[in-house]
Formats: sequence, structure tokens, C-alpha cells
Amino acid sequence: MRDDSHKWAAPFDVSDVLIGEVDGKACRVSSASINRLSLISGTGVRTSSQIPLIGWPEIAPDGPFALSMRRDRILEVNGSARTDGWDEVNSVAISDMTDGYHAFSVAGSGALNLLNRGADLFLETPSASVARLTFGLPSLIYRTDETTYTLLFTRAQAVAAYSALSAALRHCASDG
Amino acid sequence: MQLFPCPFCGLRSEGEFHFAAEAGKTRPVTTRDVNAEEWAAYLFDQKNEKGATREVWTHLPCAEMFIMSRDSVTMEVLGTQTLRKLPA
Amino acid sequence: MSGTRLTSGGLIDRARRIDFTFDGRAMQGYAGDTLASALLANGTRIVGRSFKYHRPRGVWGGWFDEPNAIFSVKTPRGSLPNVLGTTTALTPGMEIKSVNAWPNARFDVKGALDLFNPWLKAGFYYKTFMKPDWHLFEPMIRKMAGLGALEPDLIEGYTSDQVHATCDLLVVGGGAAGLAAAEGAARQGKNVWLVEDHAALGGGLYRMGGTIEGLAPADWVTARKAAIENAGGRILTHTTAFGVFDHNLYGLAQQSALDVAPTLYRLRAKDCLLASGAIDRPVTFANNDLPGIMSLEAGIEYLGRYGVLFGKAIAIAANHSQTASAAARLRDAGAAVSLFDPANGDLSATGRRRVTSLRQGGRAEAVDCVLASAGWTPVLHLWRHAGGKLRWDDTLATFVPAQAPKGMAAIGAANGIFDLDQALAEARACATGEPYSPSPPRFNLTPTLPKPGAKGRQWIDFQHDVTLDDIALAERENYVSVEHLKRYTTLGMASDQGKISNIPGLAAMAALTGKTIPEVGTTTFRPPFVPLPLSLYHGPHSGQNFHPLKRLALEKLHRSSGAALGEYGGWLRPAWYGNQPGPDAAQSEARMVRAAGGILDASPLGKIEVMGPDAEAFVNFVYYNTMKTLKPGALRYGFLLTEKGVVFDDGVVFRMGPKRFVISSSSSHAEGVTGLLESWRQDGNDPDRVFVHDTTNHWSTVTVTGPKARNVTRSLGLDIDLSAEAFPHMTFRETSWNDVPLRIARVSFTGEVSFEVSIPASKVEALWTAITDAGEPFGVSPIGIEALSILRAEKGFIIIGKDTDGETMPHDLGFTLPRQKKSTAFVGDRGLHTEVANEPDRRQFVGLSVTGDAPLPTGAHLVEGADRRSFGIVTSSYISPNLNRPIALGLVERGAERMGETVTLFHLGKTYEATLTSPVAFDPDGARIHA
Ligand SMILES: [Zn+2]
Repeated sequence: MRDDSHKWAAPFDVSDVLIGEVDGKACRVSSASINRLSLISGTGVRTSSQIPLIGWPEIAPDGPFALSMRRDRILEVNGSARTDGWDEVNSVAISDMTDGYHAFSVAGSGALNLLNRGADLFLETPSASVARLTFGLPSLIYRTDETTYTLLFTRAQAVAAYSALSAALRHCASDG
Repeated sequence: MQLFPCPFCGLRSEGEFHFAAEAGKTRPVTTRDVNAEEWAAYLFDQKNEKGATREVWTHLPCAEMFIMSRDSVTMEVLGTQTLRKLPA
Repeated sequence: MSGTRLTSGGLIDRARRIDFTFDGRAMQGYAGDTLASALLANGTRIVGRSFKYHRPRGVWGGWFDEPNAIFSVKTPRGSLPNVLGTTTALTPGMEIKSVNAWPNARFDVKGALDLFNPWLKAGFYYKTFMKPDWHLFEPMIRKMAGLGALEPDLIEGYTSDQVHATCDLLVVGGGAAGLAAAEGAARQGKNVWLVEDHAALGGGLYRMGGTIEGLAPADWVTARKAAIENAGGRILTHTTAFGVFDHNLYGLAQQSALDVAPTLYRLRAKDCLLASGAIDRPVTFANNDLPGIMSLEAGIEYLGRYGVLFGKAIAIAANHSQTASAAARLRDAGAAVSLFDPANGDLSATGRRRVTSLRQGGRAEAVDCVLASAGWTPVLHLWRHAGGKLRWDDTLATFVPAQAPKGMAAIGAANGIFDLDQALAEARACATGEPYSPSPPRFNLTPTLPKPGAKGRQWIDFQHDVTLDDIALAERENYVSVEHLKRYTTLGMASDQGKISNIPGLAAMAALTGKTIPEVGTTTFRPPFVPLPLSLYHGPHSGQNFHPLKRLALEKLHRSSGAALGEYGGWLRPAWYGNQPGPDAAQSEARMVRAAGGILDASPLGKIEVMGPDAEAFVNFVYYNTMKTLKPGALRYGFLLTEKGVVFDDGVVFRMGPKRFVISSSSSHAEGVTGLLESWRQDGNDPDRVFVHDTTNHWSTVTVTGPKARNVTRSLGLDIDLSAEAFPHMTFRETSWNDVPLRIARVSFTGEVSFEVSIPASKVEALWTAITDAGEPFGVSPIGIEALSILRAEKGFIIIGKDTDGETMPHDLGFTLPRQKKSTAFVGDRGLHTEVANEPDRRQFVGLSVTGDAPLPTGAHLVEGADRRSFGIVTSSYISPNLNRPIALGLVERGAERMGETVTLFHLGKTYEATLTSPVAFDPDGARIHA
């Protein structure tokens, strides 16, 4: 029975921003806001999606889109409101996951260099799924433009992800 | 660190995968009598083959379970096969 | 002491002088020097003492093949031990200390050990010090052994950068062959990486006199470098390819200076060209370890790269066709050179603290330096890491590449091609895929191998002091397998991993056993190729990033409420609140709950949705308990088992509707349970008819528990009737609060009336604030996990993994019905009816009523008989603040039928007494939970 509060840095604020250079290229890490995330599973859910389906390394549009997670699972980003549960009409399972993830935006010409500290993630290696381990943590990674990446980590692991990103960025900065 | 081909995601690093079991076992129908030998074989018998093996693996990020054939000596991946029935 | 630096030549920058000290003496070097080249330039002959005999030793090699020049180094940033002097760049202000020597390398008090050498032969640990008892000798041996010591200002905690990367072609080695190959491949448009472990590209070119393809070596290198980079190639200097791992993964370590954290590249290269060159093999002769005896390669390397001419009267003892050009370079630089051919008879060196003469038969030359070479050994460690085969080449008297591993080829000296023009032609052809017909080799040698039985002490492994005699001894004692030879004599086990001693050692064993060298074989080559700091491997995964905990959405509020936080099941959670010591706080919080109530952040409880047409059948299959009879709006406690029938998790199943369940797994198990469900879903069930969503992260949960729980919860103003009649125990309701969805369940882990309120995580701060504000007038405030642990133990509620172990089955916990009655198949069903499961002596869950006031130690054994046979253990133990006595839970053989029995317990030499009771110590008829 002991108090370990001091061993763990207090959680970051959503307004906190990390700025640095990786391999001599600029990089900025900030929290991103997403209005709605809906987890939808069902056979054929990927092919029947009415909104753009985003895998790696596709670039997500401004409007609603669906992240391809699994053979039978998508995560709708900023889609329409849905009711949790089993949808008899479409034969899909639906769960609101808006509060289940924390989103970071990693931007700048050095963004991919920073991500390469934590994942073997390369533009020339496409993948049907945006899900991968980053810094050892489950994550969803997609692009919003040529040099901007959105990273979703589970809410409980957002502090760990932030700490890993900041350690990688701090280290790269001290190199230059 | 090996590279394994997830039938859904493509090539990913070994650290994203979890070994589940040797392929080829079927759960006995337990609502009928299952004798001790049969149950023990299901739980504990392993072939531990040297050379070509068939194993069930899970790709953790996408939760895909699949059969991977690989060579346990050279570590060469010989092929994969999804456990799911795929749309025709 | 005389300096040996020439006024011109080499890659050093004579305009940038670097001051440093060696064993306290001030010295000067230049930018571009290594520690070794600077020490040699200052005339230093003895750089350290050998590991076992404390023999004086000088610099032998020019790069990673060096066995002797190992130092402790202090830089302005701190100290580091075990620094290899030949590969470490000299930087300003370094304080270099010799190791394994006291008071210093020149005057080593333990040097007298050498006089005892007959007792320190191979295997001496096992023989000499066994009687009367090894432990008498151990402290002395330990004190004398080892290289270097840790200084208090040790550089620690620097963080290595770790990078994942890919390329088409990795070229290992930036010598002539590597540069030519990288240029050829890059010009073809390949994504090429070239790594070179020196600061400068060029490899062995600086040892050559003259020109290469019409250019001075430095100019030729500059032209190749520009061509590679212009074609998009990437060049990393200061970078060692230290290992090849599965599926073409290459480990690269880049270290620009000793006290700067190295960078790790995990490079996935489609193909690799190994242009790692070759190193000189020592000639084995009497007293071949005297300071002043170096490899021929090193002697020329110090001259060509560092402008250091180490000897004035140099003997070259070498056996090959490049000897003459080496002699010419040394003579041009001003040395008197005499040549010895080892084929003409046994050599022997004399001298005490340095070599003073070299003899062969009747011939003796007075010298201050001997440069020896028995030929080139290709550097093929990476080749072997990758699974490439080796072939013994009789004409070169060394191993050369045979069958290539997938995606790798060796070129240049690494491929046994020691002729520059030939190597360039081969490298270019290999890189571009153009045809190439090898010209006949212009390099030849007379094989020179150790001769067992030769007179004098002939050193094989300099760093570990293994002599030819030691190998002969190992052979006499039948340690003839190379792996036995290595461990018995420690040949090749030093930090240089036998880079120069391997082949002489194998050759000696071959000669002794009458076998050929390939028959003797080699030991296994394993990464890393050179010693590397551990920080390279852990990188930033240290401190809070080593095993990061999951964090609560309410953590900031908990901190501001004065919570003490601790790890519980992978989460950082409030252990208790306020300034009291933890145990006192837990006692008062647990008392408060039963007197009025408490508020708990229960967010880590799993919320795993199971949906689809087969959801009911699936949940019924994965749970021990029958779940298909569960009605929407109700919830049920149950166990998930492994197929062996062992309890894996306990949790509560919510039935949300006909095709939707939510599994509330225990707090540390949400991911494990999700994984288990997912694997049963895909393996053996129809994955198109049932889906599993782990929504644990979306929801946060606040539990209000205690006699006043209803009053507190009522102040939320929810539109549901909270009365016991309308909202009974083990049911739940879905509603909303301030337009936010909210789920409220009557389920209790304290034995008191409890309301478990779940809400999307972004709204939980508001909910927590509302509930704690509402609790205040009722004397109800937050409680931590420590109080909860006491409360549940008072009620005999288990924690899986604490009160159960890897053998506990549900019937051991008193849950026997499904095992006897459930008719449909479920996970673990057959496992519950094995011989082991039916054993009458199984350990069963009990309570222990303690005799006396002192609580039992958790982990204490229940014992019987004179030999104190253990028949059970205490799994949980607390002082109950509500019963004012110690309570305990345990697993005890046949515990259920032994209620009332008085037992003896034993822990760390102390004996205790207790009586076996029901696990439920508080409110045994459960009236409070239904109130
Ligand atoms: Zn996958």
C-alpha cells in the first residue's frame, strides 16, 4: 500500500502542444477534436459504407469518412448519429465510441519521421487496416493531408501515447 | 523481428501478432461423452514440428485469426489462409 | 617517451589539437584520432594488463579487432567503463584510465600473477580453488577479475533514438568495394543505404600508397560519396551493422561520440551487400603478446589514417604477397624494416615490458616494433547471422563465403578478394547485375597456422589470456568440441568475441586432434557484432514509458481531491484519499461505507458489448453460468473459464436486449476477456452472427455504495424509481442525465446497496462532481481501492488471481450448480470433470477466523505434521474496521467440510492459529445488499 502519485506525471491538457524537429524536419503534435466516432461491425460493412473508406495510406476527406479497421469493422468518423446495439435492418452492431479514443494530430514535414520512432509505418507499404501498434500501444493512424497524421489511441492510453511521442520528439530535438 | 502477412492487413511486424495454437484441432463435442484421452489430446498434445508447420495466429490490431504455414527452422513464411469464409 | 606522429599524412586535422590524459599524464592528439592512435602518437606502449596474468599489453589492432586497448574514460559528461580505444573517437578533455591494472598499466602490482601461471591454466577455476571450498577463494578471484569499474559519475539514463526504416539495398562497409557497389545500385534508382563504422569513408584505401583509378584515395572517396548521394542514396558513418535478424531486419547502431546516446535503426533491407572487409590474422609465436607487436594491418593503418609511425626499427613477420608494399610504405615514412617469413622457422620475440628483438633460428633483429600477419580473415559475422555458410579455403588459410543467405551477397575482401582492382570490378557487377568474369587472384600466401608443441608461451586469445598450451590441455582433457573448448578455456569469450583468436584456436585444435579445420568447425556467431550499450535496445522505453499504466478520465479530479494513486491491475487508481497514512485511511473509508456510504471510481470495469443473432448462444457458451435465461434489464454474476476448467475471470453480464449483452469483466481483465471472446467467436462460432465491441474506454463508471447510496443517487434527479421494490438488486436501467446517455446498475462488491452509474467518459467529471456534492450532506465521500479490498473481503467476495490461482475451479469457490446441471456446451465444461477436478483433496475457498489480534500474513501456509506439510494458503488478510478483528480468506484442502477446525499457520519462521469459517464474515445473511 503506497502512494505512487509522484511517479506518474499528471495527465497532459488537451491544449498542450509539442513542437520540435525530427531528422532536421519540423513536427508538431497536438490534440485533435473529433465530433463523433461510431464503431460498426458487420459482414460486408466495409463494402456497404456510404462514405469514403480510409485505409493506409489514404488521405481522409474533410467530411464524414469510415476508417477501415477489420475485415468486418469500421470506425465512422463524424458520421451521423446512430443508436447503440444490434441494427436488425442492416445486420450491423453499433457502439458509440466518441469518448473511447483520444485523437492526436502529428503535422509537419517531420511527422512521418516521428511516427517511425514508434512504428514501422511507411507510405510505400499500404494496408487495408489503419489499426497498428505504435510505441507498443494499440492505435489507429490515418492521413488528413500529405504531411498530417491523425493518431487515435484509447482514452486510457492517451497519456502513455503523449508521453511516448514527447519522449521521441524530445530526444530527436536534442540530437540536432 | 519477423514480418508476418495478415490476410487482411498485409505484411506487419511480428510484435503485432499472437500465437494461438497449432492448426488442425477441433473442439470435441462436449455434450456427448468425451473420454479423458481425447480431452487431454485436445488440450495438451503438440506436434512441435521441425520444418513446415501450420499454426493459428491472431493479428492483434485487426483481431484476424488465420492459419499461417511457416518453416520453424528457417523462419520462412510459406503462406496464410484466413479462418473466415470469404464472400465468393 | 618519444612521440611518433609524422608531420604530414593521414586524415587527422593537425590544426585542431585535443588535450587529454592517460592514467593522469597530460597528452595531446588531434581531431580524427581514436584513443588508441593518440596514445600511440604519444609513444604509449603499455595500454593495459591482461585479464588473467596481468601481462603488460599494447595496442594490437587498428579497429574492432583490438583485444587489449580497453579503458575507463571520463568525459565532461561523465564516465564510462569498457571503452574500446581503437574505435572510439578522441574528444577534448577525456581522462583515459587503463583497466585491470593497479596502480596503473605501467606498474601493475598484480603483474606478479604471471609468475604463478602454472596454476592459472585453462579450467583453473574448477581445479585449483575447489579445496577446501570455492567460496573461500571467490572474493579474492572476483576482486582480481573483470575489466574496469563503475565510477560514481557513470553516464546513465541517456536515451537512444530508435528508428524504423526500409531500403532496397543495404551496403555494409564504406570501403572501396562498398562505395563502388552503392554507387552502381544508386545510379540504377535503387533506394540504397551505405553504412560505415569509421568516421570517414574509404576503408582500407588509406593503407594503400599511390592512387585509385587515377585519384588520390581521399579524392576518389569524395567522388563516390557525391555520386551516391546525388543518386538519392543515404550514407551513415559512425554506424555499425551489428546484427541480422529474421526476415532481412538489420540492426544499425550509429554513435557519433562516446558520450552521446547511440541511435538504433531497425532497417528492413530487401537486399544486402556485405562489404565488411577483412582483418589481419595474428601469427602465433613465442611471446607474441609483447607490447610493440601489432597486426601488420594496424601498423599500416596507424600510418595511413592517423599519421603515426609507431616504430623506428620494425620487423614484419608476414606470409603473403602484400608484405612488400607494406614494407615500402614504412620505409618511405622513415622506418628501418626487416622482413621475416614465418615459413622459414619458429619465431620468438623477446623483451620484458616491450618487444626488443625478434628471432628466427640463428637470426635476431633488434626492433622496437613487430608487425605480424598470417593473412586476411574476411569479416563474415553478419553473413553467419543471416544463415550463410562458410567454406575453408586452403590457399587463403581462412573461411570464405560459401552458400549465400537469402538476399545477401559478399563482395570485396569479405568475399576473400584481397586485390583492389578485382574487388572493384566484382562490386560494380554485383550491384548492377551486370556479368562479371573474375580475373585470376593476384594475392597469394603461404599458410601459417599455430604449431602445437612449439616452444615458449604462444598467445591465442590476448584478451582472455588463452595460450596454445591451454588449448593443448583442453584437448588432453577431451574438451575437443569447439563449444566445449570455448567454455573450458574461455577462448573467444572476451568482449572481442574471438575476432582474431578464433581461427588460430580452431587451427590449433585441428592440429592437435588430427582433423581438418572445417571438421573442427566454428562456434556460433551471434549479434551484436561489437559490444553496444543497453540503452540502444531500450531506447525511450524507460521510466514512465517502460510499462505505462492506463489512466482514468477522472485522474485530475482525484489528484485535486488528494488521492494517493497506485497501480491496480494495470491502471493508476486512487488507493485512498486524504493525508492520513494509507492503512489508516483505508480503515476509515471502509468504516464510512458501512456507516453512511462511499463513492468509487469504478471506470476500469469492462464494458464489452456482444451483439448479433447468435449473441445469446455465444454468451451462454463462453460463460460457466447459464446466461440464456437472463432477461433484458437484468444482470448476472458469472465465471469465464479456460478449457481446463480454471477460473479466468469473474464478471457481471448485462442483458440489454434479445440480441445484445454487455459483459462487465473485472477491472484488470477487459482486454484479456475481449481477446478470449474474439478468439471463441472466430474459432468455433459463426463470426458473421455475433460481434464483440470493447467499449470500456468510452464509458466511465462511478459507484455509490452504502446505506445512504440511494439518497445520494436520488439527488441526480434521474427519471427512474430507485426504490428497492422498483429497482431490485441485480437489475439495471438505461436513461439519460443532462441529455447524456446513462446506465445505472444495482450490483455490489461491498455487500451494501450500490448504484453503479456509467456515462460517456467526457461527461464523467460532471457526474463525479454532482455525486460527491450530493454525498457530502450524507457523510458520503470518495473511497479508494484499499477500502474496497477490505469491504469485499468482509463479505467473502473473491478477487480472481488473488484469491484464486491457476488451479482454482468454480466448484472450489462454492459455485457448483452449472457443473452439475448446465446441459449446453460451455468453455471448460469437460475440464470440470477430469480426475483432477474430481479430487476430494482440492483446495477450496474458506474464511479464517484469527485467534488473537494480529492479522495473518498473506501467503502464510496452513501446515500439519512435524514436517509442516502445507495444505493451504492465506490469500487475503485485513483488519476489519467493521468487525474490529482480523479477517482472512484462503484456499484450503477440503476446506468446505472442515468449518470450525482449528489450524496452525506458518510464515517466515512464525506460527499462527486460526479457525476455518465461512468466507462471509460480515452480514452473513446478506440483508444489507437488498435494502
Ligand atoms: Zn490484420
